[in-house]
Amino acid sequence: MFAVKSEYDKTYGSVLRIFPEHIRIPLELLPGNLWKHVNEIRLRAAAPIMVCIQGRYRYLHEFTDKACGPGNTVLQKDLRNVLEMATEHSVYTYQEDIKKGFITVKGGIRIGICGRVHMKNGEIVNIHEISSLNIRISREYPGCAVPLMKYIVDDNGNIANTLIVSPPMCGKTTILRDICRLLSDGYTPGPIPDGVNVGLVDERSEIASCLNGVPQKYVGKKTDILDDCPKVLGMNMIIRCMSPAVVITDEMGSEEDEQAVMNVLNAGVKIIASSHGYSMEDMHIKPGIEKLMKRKVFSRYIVLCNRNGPGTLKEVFDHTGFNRIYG
Amino acid sequence: MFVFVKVIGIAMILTGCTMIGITVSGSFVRRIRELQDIKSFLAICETSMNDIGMHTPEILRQSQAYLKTEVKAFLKSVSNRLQSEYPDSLAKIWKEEIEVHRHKLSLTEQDLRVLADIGSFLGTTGPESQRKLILRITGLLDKHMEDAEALRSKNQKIMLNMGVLGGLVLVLILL
Repeated sequence: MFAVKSEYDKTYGSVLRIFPEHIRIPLELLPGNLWKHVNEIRLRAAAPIMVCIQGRYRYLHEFTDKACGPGNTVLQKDLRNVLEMATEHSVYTYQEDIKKGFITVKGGIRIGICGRVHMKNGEIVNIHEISSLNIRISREYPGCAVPLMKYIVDDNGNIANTLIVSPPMCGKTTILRDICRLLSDGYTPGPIPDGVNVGLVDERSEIASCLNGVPQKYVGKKTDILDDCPKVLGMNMIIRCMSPAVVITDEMGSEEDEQAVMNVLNAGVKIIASSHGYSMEDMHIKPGIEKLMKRKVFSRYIVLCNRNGPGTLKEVFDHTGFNRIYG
Repeated sequence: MFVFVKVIGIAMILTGCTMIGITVSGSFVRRIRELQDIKSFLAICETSMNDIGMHTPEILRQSQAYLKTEVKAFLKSVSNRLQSEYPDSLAKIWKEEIEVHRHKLSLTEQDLRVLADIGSFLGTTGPESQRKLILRITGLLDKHMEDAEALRSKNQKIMLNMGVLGGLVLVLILL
């Protein structure tokens, strides 16, 4: 479980700023320290506001006497306003991201968008008449990956090709971000105190949450980021242009990913990636991962769960994917 | 002494009425200049949005340097309110600031409606849609500027002369 205190105050201001008053005030009035544990805020047209607190979904109006909109429901114009505020009154700068269904805004906040999809020549050109927004608040927990580092880096400083396996909302990306930071900046006591060059392929802008080229989440001083870049292209690009010691990427699983990983390894570069899954069994149904497992590409498989909160280390396996080292 | 007061009075009436004439006739020129400033602002918006991808608050801030009329003060107020900790939507701020600046601007009700239109779409849609809307509003502004120019050439001198003549008539009546 994440034990290190996060810098929630910075995120707090960025998130609250995007809401209209009748949503912002109930959020501000969340009792005690609950705000620090909010992972998601879900707004759906004509439905009550939901907040996800440490993986559990609750209605916002349960926590406050203040009305969260008429009948405690969200109006469609509220959704438009939130999107407008989140994009700093500049929806046009986020059009390409809106087409993909999400935007990353100041403070590293990721907003998933649903609505009426406008197609042209078989391609999505816009999402309008917005019906729901999912505001995901990613937080940094510096040091949360420290207990995992002994499985990733050996005593001689050799980095193991590692796959992080985790269900959604279990801190996969947060752990990956901290691994990136630790490898980039180095850590003591540890075998790589000065760190190494890290190439980060951040396909969905989730890890570094770059905004105008500036990472909104700290990923280390020696990290080069290919933001918003398809993994397969990104992995091939970054090994050529930045010669990193290790490449880090998120959400692996397709067959195309396999070839890109092989290219990374052929260039003598290590890989640390993550994949959705509840257990090692889930990895066998992903064609790309299964092929990589057969070729024994990964030396470590780290499985996370939510048992004691996001980021709980469940199991660690060796290169076979069967021999348990931990758990 | 009485004659001296009379002369002073006449001079004051004539000056006052002439000033009113100048102000009224000047409003025709000011309207054209304000419409031109709105058009310039839209041109800056189009370039900044499409070529640079600049955010709307930044466009509002930077465009002020290129404007001279009351439109500049209006945009400054909007820009300042957007910088607050918890700003309202741009459309709401824009609408409220039009009401604040309505009497300082020389624009007609129709011009103000066009200005209000800008606030309702600015920054709310994709770049292509913004470009089309800017084009549409620019077309409307061109039409308004033509009308304003026609009104100016027709009425500017009349209003100025009316001011002077009105002063003279008032003086004659009082005498």
